[in-house]
Formats: sequence, C-alpha cells, structure tokens
Amino acid sequence: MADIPLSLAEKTFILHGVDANFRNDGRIRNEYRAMELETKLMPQTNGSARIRLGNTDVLVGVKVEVDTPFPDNPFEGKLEFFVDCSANATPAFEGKGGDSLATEISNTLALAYQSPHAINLKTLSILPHQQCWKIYVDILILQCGGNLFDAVSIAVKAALYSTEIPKVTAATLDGGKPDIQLSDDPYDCIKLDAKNFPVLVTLCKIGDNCVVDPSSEEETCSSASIVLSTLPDGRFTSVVKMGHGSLQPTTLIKTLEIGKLVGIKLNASVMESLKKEDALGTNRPIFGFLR
Amino acid sequence: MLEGDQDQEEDQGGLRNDGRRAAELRKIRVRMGVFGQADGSAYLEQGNTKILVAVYGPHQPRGSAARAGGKNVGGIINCQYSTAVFSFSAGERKRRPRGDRKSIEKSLQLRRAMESIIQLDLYPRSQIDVFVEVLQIDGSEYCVAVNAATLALIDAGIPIKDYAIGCTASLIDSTSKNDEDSSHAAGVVDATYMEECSPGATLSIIALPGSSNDATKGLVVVAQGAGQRLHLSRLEALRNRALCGCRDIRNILDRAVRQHLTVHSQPSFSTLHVID
Amino acid sequence: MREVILSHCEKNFVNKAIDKETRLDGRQLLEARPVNIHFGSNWGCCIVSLGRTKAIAQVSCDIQKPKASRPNEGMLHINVELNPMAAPFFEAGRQSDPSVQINRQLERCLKDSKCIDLESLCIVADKKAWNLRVDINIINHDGNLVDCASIAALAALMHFHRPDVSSSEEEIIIHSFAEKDPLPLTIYHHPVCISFLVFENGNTIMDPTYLEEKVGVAQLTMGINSYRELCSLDFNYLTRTSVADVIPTISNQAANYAAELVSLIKESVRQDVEARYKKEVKNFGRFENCIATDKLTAMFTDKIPIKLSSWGKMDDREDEIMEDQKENEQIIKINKNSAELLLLKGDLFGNGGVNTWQNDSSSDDEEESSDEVVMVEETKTKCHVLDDIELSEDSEEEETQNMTKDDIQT
Repeated sequence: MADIPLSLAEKTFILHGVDANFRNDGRIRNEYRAMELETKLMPQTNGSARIRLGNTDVLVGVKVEVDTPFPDNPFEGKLEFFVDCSANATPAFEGKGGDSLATEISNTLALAYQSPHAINLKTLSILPHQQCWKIYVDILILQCGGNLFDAVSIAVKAALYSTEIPKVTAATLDGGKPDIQLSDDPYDCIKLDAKNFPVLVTLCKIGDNCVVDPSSEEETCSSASIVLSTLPDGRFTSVVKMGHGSLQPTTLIKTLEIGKLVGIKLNASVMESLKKEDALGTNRPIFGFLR
Repeated sequence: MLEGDQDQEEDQGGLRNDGRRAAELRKIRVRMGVFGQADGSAYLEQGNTKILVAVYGPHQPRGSAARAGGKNVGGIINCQYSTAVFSFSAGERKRRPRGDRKSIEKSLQLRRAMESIIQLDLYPRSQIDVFVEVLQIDGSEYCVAVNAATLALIDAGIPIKDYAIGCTASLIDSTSKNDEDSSHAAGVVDATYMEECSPGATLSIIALPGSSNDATKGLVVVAQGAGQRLHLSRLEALRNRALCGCRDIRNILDRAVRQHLTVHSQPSFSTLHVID
Repeated sequence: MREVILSHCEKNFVNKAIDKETRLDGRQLLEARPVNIHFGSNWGCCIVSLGRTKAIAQVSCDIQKPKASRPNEGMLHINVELNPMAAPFFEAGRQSDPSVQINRQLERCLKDSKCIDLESLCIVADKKAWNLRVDINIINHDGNLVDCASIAALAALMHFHRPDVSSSEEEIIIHSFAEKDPLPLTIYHHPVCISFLVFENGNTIMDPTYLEEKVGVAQLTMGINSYRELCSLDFNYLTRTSVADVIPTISNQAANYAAELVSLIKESVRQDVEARYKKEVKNFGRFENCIATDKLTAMFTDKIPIKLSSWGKMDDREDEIMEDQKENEQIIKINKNSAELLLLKGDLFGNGGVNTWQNDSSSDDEEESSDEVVMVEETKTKCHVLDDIELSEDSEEEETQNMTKDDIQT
C-alpha cells in the first residue's frame, strides 16, 4: 500500500483528533466516508460493481462458468476470488509489486465467504458430481486511499448481488456424460441470494481508540487493525488481525463489540442502496468512470 | 466519405454490423482527471472498448526501468499495459492481467509511441510512468490505449509535441474480389472485436496527425498489421483510411481537451478568455 | 553482460556510408545477404544462415486436448529463444523485450496468417489434436534476427513430417515411422518476414546487420508470401527522430524478394525431402556439410568487417586463412575490382589502425573550428553595437532598434 510519509507532529495531531472523537476530516470515530456505489456497469460480465470510498476506487467483475465440482464437495459449486492491484493505484504495484497485497485481500475474502451461513454453495450445483457453476470474482484495485478491505468487500457484495446466472433448462445424464441446456432468453436468469453475504469492517486502532474507515493517513498512524467479516445478523465469519502491533484481550472484546454494531448498520445500508438502485429499473443511465 | 458510395451502400445495406458506415468512428466518450492520486489520468471509451490510464511523474527513476536505463541521460518512459481479467466479451476470462507476450509487446509499442511525442529533453534523468488498464475489450484496444495515454499525459501537464493517435482500419473480407468499388474495399475504421476476428486483415496505425487538414500527410509512428492475408495493392488504401480515422479522432479528442480545460480552469482565466 | 554502446565515430561512419549509398559489407541498399539452409537428420530440423546470422529450428509435435474455443483445430506454438549463445548481452531464461518482439512478429506472420492447415491436425474433435511446436534458437547474432528466424521456422515447418495416426472409437494409435510413412503438413501459403531499416537521411536498406541496426532510426518488418499478400506488418521507431513514410516505396521490392526467398526455401526443402523419400545417403545440405564449409558460430568481436565491393567473394576460405596468417591488416586484391579490408585485433581505429575516414573527420574539425571563430566575431559586433548604436550593420538592425527602445524606457 502506498505509504504516506507523516511527521511526528502530524501523527500526534491525528492521534489527538481520534482521542477527542473528531477526526481530521470532521468525522466521528465510527463514521464512514461518503460512498458511491454503482452496479451492472460492465455489460460483458455477469455482474459488476464499482465503489468509490474517498480516494479508494475498486472495480469488481463477476464471470460464471460451468465447471466440474471438487470431488470432496460434489454437491457444491465453486467461488473464487482474484485480486489485481493495478499499477494505476501507485507505481509500486507495477509488475509483481502488488501481488502480496492482492493475495492478502483475496485470502481474507475467501475466509469471509467460507462459512455456509454466508453463501450457500449448494445453490450453484447443476448436476452433483458432474457439473456446477464456478463464480470468478475479479477485483481490480484502481486507487487506494485507505480502507481497502471494506471497500473491496462492499463492491464484491454489490457485484454478486447484481450477478445473473443463466438458467439451466435441462440437465440430464446422457450415457455418463452430462448434457446441459441453458436458457436462450438473456433475461431468464437466476440471481444469487445476497442477503447474507458478509462485509468486512476494518477497525483501526489509533492510540487507545478504534476508528472505522480509516483514511490512508490514519492507517499510517495505526500499529494494528482488526478486519472482521460480519453477517447482517451480527455474526462474524472471520476475524483477522493486521499490522505489527498487538491488542489486549479486553481491547479486542471492546473492538469486536463496536465492529458488530458497525457491521449490522453497514450491511443494512448497503442492501438498502442496492435495492434502491434496483428500483430504478433497467433503463437507468450508467455513469461508470465518466462522472 | 465520397458521395458516390452512398448508392452502393444502400443497395447492399452498406452498413456494418453495428450500423456504422465504413469511415465512421464509434462513439467516443472522454473523461480526464479520473483519479485524484495520480499526476494525470484519463478514461476513454470508444464504443465498448473502455480504458483507464494513469500517469505518474516526472519523478526520480526507480524500479526496473531505472536499472535498464542505467546511464541514460535523457528521460525514461516506463509503460505497463495490463488487461483486467474480466475485460473480454461474454464467457471468456483472461488468466493473467499482464506478463504475457502480447501485453509485453503492447507495453513496448506504447513506450515507442509515447517517446515520439513527449519532449523528453526537458526531463533529463527523470522517469515518467504510463499505466494502462484495459477494462473492457471490443476491438482496437491498443489504439484506444494510445489515445487515452495521450490524454492522460495532457492531464498530467507533460509537454507533448503532438497528439499520438491510434486508429485501426480493417478489411473485413479480403478474399472477396467483387466489392472493389464499394466503400468497404478501402477498409472500415475503428474495428470492433467481431470485425477484427473476421477472416480479413487489420492495420493498426499510431500517427501524429498534426494540425494539417491533409490526413494522408500524418506521420506514422507505429504501424502493425495482423490478420490473415492482405494483397499489397490494398495496403495503401487501408493506410490512408486509418490515417483519416486518426485525424477524425484527433479532432474529437482535441475538442474534448479544450472543453475540459475551459470547464476546469480558474474563474479568472475563463473571464480573460471571454474578453478575448 | 551489458551491450556495448556504439561510439559516435562508428555511427557517423555508418551514416556517411549510407549517405553515399554504400554499405560496409559491399551490398546494395536493397540487397539481402545470401541465405543457406541445411537440414538435420530429423524431420523438421534445420539451420539457416543469413550472412553471419544463424538460427536453428526444430519442429516437434505431441497430442493434446484442443482449445475449448477451437475444438476442431490443432495448435501451433512458436518459441524463439535468445540466449547468450546468440550474443553475450542476451540473458538466458528471461523474456526480454527483443525476444518478445521477435516471438510476436513470428506469431503474427505464421500463426495469425493461417498458413498451416490446423484443421487437418485434429484427430478427435474436442478431445485430441496435434500440438505443433516450433523452437528456434538463434546461434549467432549479426542483425536481422526476425528474417533469419522466420526462414528457419518456415523451412522447418515445410520439412516437418508428423507420424500417421489411425483412430478407432475409443483409442488412437500413433504409428511409428517404420509402420507407416510419416505425413507432411498442409501449408496453404508461405509467408516470410522481410526486414528493412530506415536511416536518418531517409535511405532504406534491406536485411540490416547488427551494426546497422544500432544506427538506423526506424525498422520495418513485413511478413509477405509469394502471392504478394501481406501477412504481418511492423513499423517501429528505434530512436526519437522521425522519417517519412517508406512503406509504399519498398513494398514492391519486399514482395519480389519474398517470392524469390520462398522459391529458394521450397527448392531446398524439396531436394532434401525427395532424397529422404528415396532413402539416398546424401550429404548435400546436411548439418555436417554446413560445419565443413562454414564457421558454425562467429565470435562477437569489436571489429567492423568492411568489404568495399563484390559481395560474395568472402566465402573464399583459403584466401581468408592466408590473410589470417599474414597477421596485419592490409588490402588484398582478389580480382580487379574488389578489395577487402580486414581489421585484425589490436589494429582497430583509435588503437593505431589505419583510419579510413581521416579526411572526413579532419574536414569536420575544420568546419567546427571555423564556426567557433564566426561566433566570436558575432559577439564582438554585438558588443560594438552596445557601445555605439550608429555603427550597427544592416543585418542586426532589429536588435539594435529593440535595444534603443529599452534604453529609452529605462
């Protein structure tokens, strides 16, 4: 991630601001920046979404493909995350420079979506042992201005929410070989049940307090942060600690309490705005990067 | 377009699959300054081909480019051409965003094109990064990338000699001989993915069209032909067609740049302009 | 090892020679070096030499599952290897910029032009197809690697024979050469790459050598078949200057030479293949042959080999050896109109060797020095002007007027 050089005085200023519950961009500790979310902006994918959270800019494309299921999970489909840190974000990502961050993000996402409470992979099965849907979630990080994990997870949730999988009209076994027919009508498709998809909430420990949605300056000040993946009902599917610092057990529990509340609210507001966008119908103008 | 072609087009449809005439470009949509963090950035849409470019620099040389540049006294341009894995049309998915031969080749040629327009003697011992991210592919993506890179350089305020403009001209079916007279015989500009895949040939040209009105006088910087077979006698016409396309694109982009600058310039600046 | 940077003297020398429409090896501007093709003991193996540039190609095949996007076609892979064997500055096992460029040019020329009937290489649709692989190694680098590699690739593909296959319902049998005669590939048309180099003064040369490639400003590679059809085109600037468009002027020459080259390749492939069909023990055009008649590799040296005229006399091995023994550089007359200047070690220009462009450079120096003198004079007159405005000369009237204005204002 692009490290921003900060002087000791600047760090102290940010620290005191967090202490006083008045951050340097005017937010309180558990307040998010304004978010811009748009779905279905890439017609050549099955589902797509783009989020702008401050200076952070993430584009997600979802493609589905028919594949054979894993032999140990014959009744389930597959879900794969691929993160690409574009050099557009910072020249440090050029070539293989962004690979370590990309793996970190994709591993965290895979962990968050691993729980059966989050996504029911059985719905992606077509013919047990033979055929299933494989969902590729490709995440392109175009700019990072802090709080990458939350932004990525919201974009992923939105993209999966908008994903349309062609309907299988007939699936038969023909002499041991699977035979699948897909619906010809492009509007005849199934949607994923995005209700329970998790979002990641990053709680960044600055001084004695935790803030949500840290800007890149605040990330530089923090020694440790916790990335929680929260379900809409407040359950966690994963808890990951990032950074080099450490946390006291009591602080951790306090942090988790805050994270739970934030996660429930964030999930609800993301779902609400997705539904609002849906209500605009198929003829809404697509802004993409032109705005 | 010649007037005589019109009849021909009407009786055989004359239009391309997407309803364009032979020398017609796709809709071009531009936005400059998409990103706040980069020194310059641009987003360019030509039809369904969508490309984002970010420019960083000039800054101190670093990374692999600096090592390769070594004792190079002049400025270094470092380009990376990368394609989003979901950028292909329905169904297909790219395995790696960059690092394959085609991407490396395109990075190389993008650097050549950028070297031809940037006034590098103004930036001794410094490096300029041009990063191209292809979001969606529908033909002519390399040419669109060059156009977008030019816009990003303008946005970054790096002095350039001229616009480097790319345009493709494609002969959709070079084997058929009977359409010598029709407008399609000279090739169609700004080819879509379907047109590039047809059993014809595609010529991609990066040119510096200058401000002259004579399109065929444009300076060709990089030319690349691909596809099946093209008889040499057709090459000249195809080249002129591509150069005409370059000039048209230049005019459109030039207008977009001027508009962008008037909208985003200081109020005092624009009032001065009005007085003028 | 870093690539040695060419000195300005060497660059000027080459540029001036091109100005006078001569080349260091005595060729015409639009003349290619001689091509030699030698075949190995296997099918689809050949060594091609283009002057001192040498490449070896080997075609191999195996059976693979065809691509999902093209289920009824075989596959063709082309791989050009640039390693320190070709020239010490190439790194082994790394995708360098020139290797990517050559690979892509060959792919466009041979693969995208669909010159090979890939459909005939399919055995069972969607299940099994032949996967052809052309591996090209550059053995010696003396410029124009693309042409040499493309000739090698085409000759190897034309020469290649694959094992016959018979397929029943479930299984396929690959017959050994002893069981069934091997089959050649079906080739629709024969594209070769022809390279040109444009110099600062706009002169274009064909088939550039390594030295010329370092000096030229733009390169053009055309993939053309014998029917004057363009299969690939690459035009790139090597430096940051610009020249006029050359494609229209040389395309005709390229097409003619391509036709010539293709017939040469066809003829040598035909001779070798026929000899093999007849099971003749034949030594013509084989590897051992090429080792006997020619140096397999020529070392990369700092010297500039110069031939003043009559290209082609150079393969006179005996002469060369004799010259070698005589140690020093000298001009040897082979026959009336030809002279060969051999520069041996320690006798390079600047190391005490004879400088053939002494006259030119000295005149340059003179010009430069005279320029300087003029400059000084001008400054003098300017000083003069500052002192006394009345004395100004006509040519500098404007300047003096400006100055008077300034003077008045201040």
